[in-house]
Amino acid sequence: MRGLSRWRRRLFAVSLASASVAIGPAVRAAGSEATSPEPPVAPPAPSPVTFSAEPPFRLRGIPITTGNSGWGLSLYGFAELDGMVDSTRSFTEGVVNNTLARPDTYAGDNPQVQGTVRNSRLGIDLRAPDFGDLKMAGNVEMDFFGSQASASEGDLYTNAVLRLRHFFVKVSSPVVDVLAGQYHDLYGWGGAGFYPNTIAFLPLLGEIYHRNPQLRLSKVVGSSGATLEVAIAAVRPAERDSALPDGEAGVLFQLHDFRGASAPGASRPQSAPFGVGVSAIGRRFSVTDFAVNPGNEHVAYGGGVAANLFLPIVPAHGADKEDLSNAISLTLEGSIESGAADLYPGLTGGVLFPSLPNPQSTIPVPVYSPNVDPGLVTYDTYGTLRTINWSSALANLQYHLPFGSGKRVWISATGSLIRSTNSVDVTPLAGRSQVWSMGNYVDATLWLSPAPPLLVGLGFQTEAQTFGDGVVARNYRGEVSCYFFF
Amino acid sequence: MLLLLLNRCRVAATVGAAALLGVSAAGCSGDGAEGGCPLIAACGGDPTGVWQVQRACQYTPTTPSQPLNYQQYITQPMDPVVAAVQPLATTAGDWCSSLFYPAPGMIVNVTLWHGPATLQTGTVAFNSNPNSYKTSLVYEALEQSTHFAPPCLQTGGFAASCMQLQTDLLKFYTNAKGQKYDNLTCAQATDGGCDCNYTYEVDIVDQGTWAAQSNGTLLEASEPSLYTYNGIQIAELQPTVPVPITYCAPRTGGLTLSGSNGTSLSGVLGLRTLVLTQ
Repeated sequence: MRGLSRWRRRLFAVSLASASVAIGPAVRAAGSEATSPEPPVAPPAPSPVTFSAEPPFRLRGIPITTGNSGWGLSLYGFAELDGMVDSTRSFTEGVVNNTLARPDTYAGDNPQVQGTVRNSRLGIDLRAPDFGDLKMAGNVEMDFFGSQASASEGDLYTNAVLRLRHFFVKVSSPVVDVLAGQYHDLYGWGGAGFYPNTIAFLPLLGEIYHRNPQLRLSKVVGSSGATLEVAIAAVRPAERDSALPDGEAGVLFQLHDFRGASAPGASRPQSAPFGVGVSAIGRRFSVTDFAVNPGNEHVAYGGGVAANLFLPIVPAHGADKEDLSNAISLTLEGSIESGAADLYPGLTGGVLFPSLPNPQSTIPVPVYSPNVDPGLVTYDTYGTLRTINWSSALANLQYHLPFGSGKRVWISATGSLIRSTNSVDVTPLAGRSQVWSMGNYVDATLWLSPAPPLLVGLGFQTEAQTFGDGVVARNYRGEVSCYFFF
Repeated sequence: MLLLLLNRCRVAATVGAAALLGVSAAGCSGDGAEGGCPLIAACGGDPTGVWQVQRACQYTPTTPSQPLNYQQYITQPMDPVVAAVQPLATTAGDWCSSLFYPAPGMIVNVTLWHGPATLQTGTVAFNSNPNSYKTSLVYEALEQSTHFAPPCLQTGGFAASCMQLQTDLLKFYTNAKGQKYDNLTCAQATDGGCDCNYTYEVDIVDQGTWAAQSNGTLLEASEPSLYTYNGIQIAELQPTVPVPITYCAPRTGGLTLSGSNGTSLSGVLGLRTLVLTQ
């Protein structure tokens, strides 16, 4: 292969791209919550094959020696301890988009305390030797939220199970970039720098935050000062019986000389470029007939549109734009979707499928077995398959105090709203007290980083949901977190 | 500091008719599902006499999935309950409200939906020698409505008019024990179905014996055969053990009853406090 001419290498790259069904984002954003630009990772030792040093192929964390193999390898992640106290018993560690316990119930009226390390993370960046114009990199990233549905409370927190977050390969060519594997969804431009800075586990209420197996094609055009990335992706369908992958597409514009303070999720602050992204998703549902013995499939289509913004209100300064002193940054996200609630983890609004009619009270009770996850679609009173609509908006602001180049002390605050236009309407009267259609969320976090690998956060969060019968449930949470990044 | 912020203050339930009851109470509490109803002072005193409910503090409980047992499941229509009927946890409920309407003039089953009924009026009588009590409570859910879409009305193979449906619903509930759907009317809906409007009522009678304790509480032991909802006995709802009640009957007049340690009065889940006058 080394003997291939430049023309043949390009032809190979084009062939690889055209064989792909869909397209995806960049390794650059992988595990952005854990990304740390400081100190810069030293380039690997000289080898017969040269590496690409520019993003997205830069290795994070601790470099691992690979001898003269030509490979680049690094280990990154963080150890995290979280303590949180809630005014209700609605959640485990992540508040996400789960349904709150109603007031006047034991879960809704009584507090709880948790301690956990399950959000700790391990990641490995891999970089293969360049092959002509082809650059290849891979990533494996895990946390400890593995499925433990039947575990006791003690086992849940102390015998945590690994969970796969990312596992993908990214191939960059002069023609097109290809990402294959599990990574953030393109919808919402996950991992591209738009996540809010907060001590709360992502996603926040109404936030798009999802990972999926996907095949993504993307192309970045522009200069070093401004780039435009266009991407499309074929993604694992939300319902496998739809017999069609979900389709996602997006456009991302970034100004790399206009940079601001950024710390997506809970991470060490860094300088990041102004960015605005627009993305969309489309999908098909094919749901079994609403009957004990299903007849025809019922088909419905879902989709959504999202817009994201990262705006340095007071930008980073200094020659390298890495001084974040007094920097203020705003992150915005707005989205409107129908039948795509799974991309807002935990979000169902309580919407279920209706009961099968049983007017004669026969036993056993007739049971409908849907072939799709709850909260995406349901049947209305006319037997029509309906997708559930949601729209949401989220804003996050962060201000970095002028200590240690703005990377020692900073504060952040978030507010979000989410609303459904039909979650209550598509639920029979008897079930509406368990379905919510409006929610709001507010948080504030104080961050302290006494040394670059160490981070301590102190935060307060409150969330409310309005149920179909008008009852409002609310949770207050106080949280303290400590991180050791590597 | 954070713990202070987390201390939740809540506005308690407002219950009862505006004219007679309609009072709200507020409190801060973290002890059990008290629904914001504050604890009252246990001053004791003499509770004997006939008392009228002046106001109450109650919360709307989330009822368990219905029916409670097999007997209730096969009982058509379902026995009356104060709180709204919940569907099974895995479903969102029945779009047709269990309507079984095989022929004009013949509704075999239906469960008109209702929201939580709230206390409207009531009396409590404590007698001495022997120590017996009788509590009568009237609960209503006002302005309730159930929509029957055309597919629900046509499952019997005919298309009933809304007037026919109204007539047949009235006939059905007249013949059904323990059902009180007042002012029931059905009108044409915009989708060709019917909107049926009504007031849902539950009259609860709790009788038994009482005994005063030295610590300002009294125990009410309900007599199962005399515990009724709309005149019928519902064994699943009656108190199975004597209910401890914190009470205060000062010489200046009035009587206040509150379920001790989060318990509910007269077995009515959510009814925490009654303020009574003679």
